[in-house]
Amino acid sequence: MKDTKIPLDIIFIDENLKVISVKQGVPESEELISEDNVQYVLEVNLNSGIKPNDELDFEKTEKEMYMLDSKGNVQMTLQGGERIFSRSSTKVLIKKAKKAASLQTDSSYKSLGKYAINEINAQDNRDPEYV
Amino acid sequence: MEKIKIGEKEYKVSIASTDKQKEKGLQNVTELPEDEGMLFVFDEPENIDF
Repeated sequence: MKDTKIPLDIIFIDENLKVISVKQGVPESEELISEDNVQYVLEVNLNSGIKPNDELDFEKTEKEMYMLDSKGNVQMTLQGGERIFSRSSTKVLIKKAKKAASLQTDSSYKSLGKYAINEINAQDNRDPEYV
Repeated sequence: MEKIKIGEKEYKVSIASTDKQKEKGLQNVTELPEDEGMLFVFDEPENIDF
């Protein structure tokens, strides 16, 4: 492989995470290395011992995200999968919930339920945005 | 870096997922530890030549 300085095992892996083939990457070589239907390629030092049909496993890592206040104290720990409602939606939810709790009428419960499910559906159908 | 297991071996790999990262690959790397590597990730299965 051009511009590669070290001998490598080039491991071609399919969409089912199974090794298709293992080829050798020769430093500075112009020779083409090819494989079909590849979803992942793993490059490691030569003579890895990896063989066709070996399976690729990703280690599950516990990842946590902390929300900090302006002083750096942890306000909340997120594990993933949380639903976050905007301040204005939360205000409306709380208002409707309090109204339903005090009036205890069908229509006030219905209004609360409808608002909540609309918010949840809007969240589910929104494309995620990342900053 | 991500930890992976493949067959019997475990590696710490850096992930190359953007076109730029995949094109650069391991160019100019002169030493690679036995337990490290690079994993190139494609959105869909492709026929690869390099």
